[in-house]
Amino acid sequence: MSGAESGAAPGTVPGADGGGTDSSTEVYKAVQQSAAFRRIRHSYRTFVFPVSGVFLAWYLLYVAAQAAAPGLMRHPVAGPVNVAWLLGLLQFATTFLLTWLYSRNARTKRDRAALSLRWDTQDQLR
Amino acid sequence: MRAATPPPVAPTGDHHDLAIALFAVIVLVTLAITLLAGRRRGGAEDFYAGGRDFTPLQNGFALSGDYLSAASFLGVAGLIALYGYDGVLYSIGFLVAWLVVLMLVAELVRNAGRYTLADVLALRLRRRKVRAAAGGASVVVTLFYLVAQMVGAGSLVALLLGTNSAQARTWTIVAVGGLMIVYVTVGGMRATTWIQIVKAVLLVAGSVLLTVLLVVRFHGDVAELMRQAAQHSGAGQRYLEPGLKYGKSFTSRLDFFSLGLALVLGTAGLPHILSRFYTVPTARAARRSTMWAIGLVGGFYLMAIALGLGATALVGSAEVRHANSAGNTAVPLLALVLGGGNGSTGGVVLFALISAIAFATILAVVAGLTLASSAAFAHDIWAGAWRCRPRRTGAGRGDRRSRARGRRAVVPASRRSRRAAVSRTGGDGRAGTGAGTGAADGTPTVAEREEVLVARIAAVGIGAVAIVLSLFAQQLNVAFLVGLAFAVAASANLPVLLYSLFWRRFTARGAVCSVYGGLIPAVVLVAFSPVVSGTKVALFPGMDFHWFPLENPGIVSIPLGFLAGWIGTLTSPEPADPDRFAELEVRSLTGAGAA
Repeated sequence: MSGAESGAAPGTVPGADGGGTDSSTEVYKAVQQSAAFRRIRHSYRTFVFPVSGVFLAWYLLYVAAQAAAPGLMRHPVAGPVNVAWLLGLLQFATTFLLTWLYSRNARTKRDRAALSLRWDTQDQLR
Repeated sequence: MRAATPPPVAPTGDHHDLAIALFAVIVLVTLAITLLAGRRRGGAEDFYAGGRDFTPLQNGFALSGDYLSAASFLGVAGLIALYGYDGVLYSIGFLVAWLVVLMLVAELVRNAGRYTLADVLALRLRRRKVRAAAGGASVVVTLFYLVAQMVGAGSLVALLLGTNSAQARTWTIVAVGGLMIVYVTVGGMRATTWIQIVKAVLLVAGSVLLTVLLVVRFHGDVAELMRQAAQHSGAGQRYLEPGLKYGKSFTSRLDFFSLGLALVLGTAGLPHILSRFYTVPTARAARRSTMWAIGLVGGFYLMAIALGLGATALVGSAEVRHANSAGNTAVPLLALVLGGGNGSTGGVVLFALISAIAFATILAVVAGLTLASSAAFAHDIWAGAWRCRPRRTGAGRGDRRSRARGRRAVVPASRRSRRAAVSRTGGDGRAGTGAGTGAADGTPTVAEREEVLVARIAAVGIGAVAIVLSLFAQQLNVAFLVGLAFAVAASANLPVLLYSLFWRRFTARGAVCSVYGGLIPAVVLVAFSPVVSGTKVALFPGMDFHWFPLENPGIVSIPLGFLAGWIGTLTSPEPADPDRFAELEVRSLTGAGAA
């Protein structure tokens, strides 16, 4: 364990040889029930679950369209570009866009609260 | 990938001398990195996680280096050169998969685990058989992937060096295998990561250089590039439309959907990608390295599309196919043309340069895979499941005690000697976290040194197995093997990982069912697919015992993996332990107690 992280290292949390000793279990259960943790979990899940559903559906629809609607995919849009190429490039665009949105969501809604809860929890485990 | 006739526009003679010289430079540089990194002989944290002190940028490059195998660099561009739009589909699946990694996996895995995927499961499901199942699945996935890379390496390097003899391929496979064993056993994760970084920088630089030359050649007119590509593809407008490769029948379209599903869900279950997240200090750094990786991988695939089109436009599909039936030499051939053509100095230099980058790519990826595989073996199967097994002997030594509820694994003898405070996550015999942290003063414990030694030995063993398998599998198509590795990862690893992280009621029995319920169908379906028998290009072309029509099992085996985990949980004799899930949830989302 390099020195930089030893402050956060599990090795420094005593009384928890088992990780499952009653005291640490109580701490984790209490934190799980706390409002601060619920807010973090809520902001994580309300972003990640719907967005994952959307991008997976969008990708699978796109792949399925090659088989199900080849006529539509062949339809020309501009010059040599047809609907298939346009949708493919849009897949690239949405991937970059969602990456940015996710990171913004995590940075603004979660990071600070998660970090302070981390130190709190580790203090309680001490 | 089959042996090909010498490429008609490929260089001969001195062209290859330069390539050989550059190959030698790459071998020397990577060995130097390995020796430098290997001088710091630390404990398990150094060997598996490179000390956890890489920056997000460094790890982002290493992630993309691990991901962009030779199959991507040469394979995807080659597929685009041969099949146009259908090749583009490949690259999109490879990229979108990273959103799954970014949103559902990277940060939580970093917070909850130590070295491997099974660590995350073990945090809440403290059973040795869970760890053994997950470790075993990881070894299988990495072996498939490893064989794919080495078979590719054999034919590719031989081709780039201008020989096509079976002997040259065989020796290439043995040499690449030997090098990767040295990288991993001597340098561990630190050396492997630096090799990935160097390789990723070279790969991106080479791609940018070729793309710029290509764009200049076409005066920035992308539409003209597409038109010329269609013209020289031999397929006309159909080159730019879906269906050139996967449009012949309903079965082949379904096969493509199956592959697409495996690609998008498989990445998040690849052990060598997951273990990368442990090389950075925090979950936030894991997220930022994933973002770097998405930028690099996405940018790379955009360039690969352009290069594939360029190869068709400037070299021609027929020439590309003639040089290598799988299209793997499309990019080097394009480099030759862009540099000024055969016989020109620019062409020679560029061809040798791109060939050397492809070689570096192969070396780096096999090293990463060997490391992940040896970690799964030593940390999960040996230390986590085997060493922790309940033993009747030695009961008199120390304070052996069963865990609070007798159903958990027993504290291993070798670990009882360690101070209690050394490792709270490692020392509880939770079908353990194996070597856990080192002692507080930084020196590795005996148990830890023992585990790292096993990992080094495992790297040699796995490397040897991979060499032998690759020698037998030389006729298999590389892209297929990679797709198969993704399918197995998506079927065996991803369901159990997602269930563990998000499903409150998930049980150990569900986990074991989920791993085997995905792994076994995936492997069995492949054994009875047209890939193994029944076609001319199959593994056993003379026999026919196939009954599964698809080449990629993903569409069946991935849902089965999820279904098996669900049924296993519902039929569990004992309910899930809410306390363990509380710990996993808090730790994975906040980073409390993270390694």
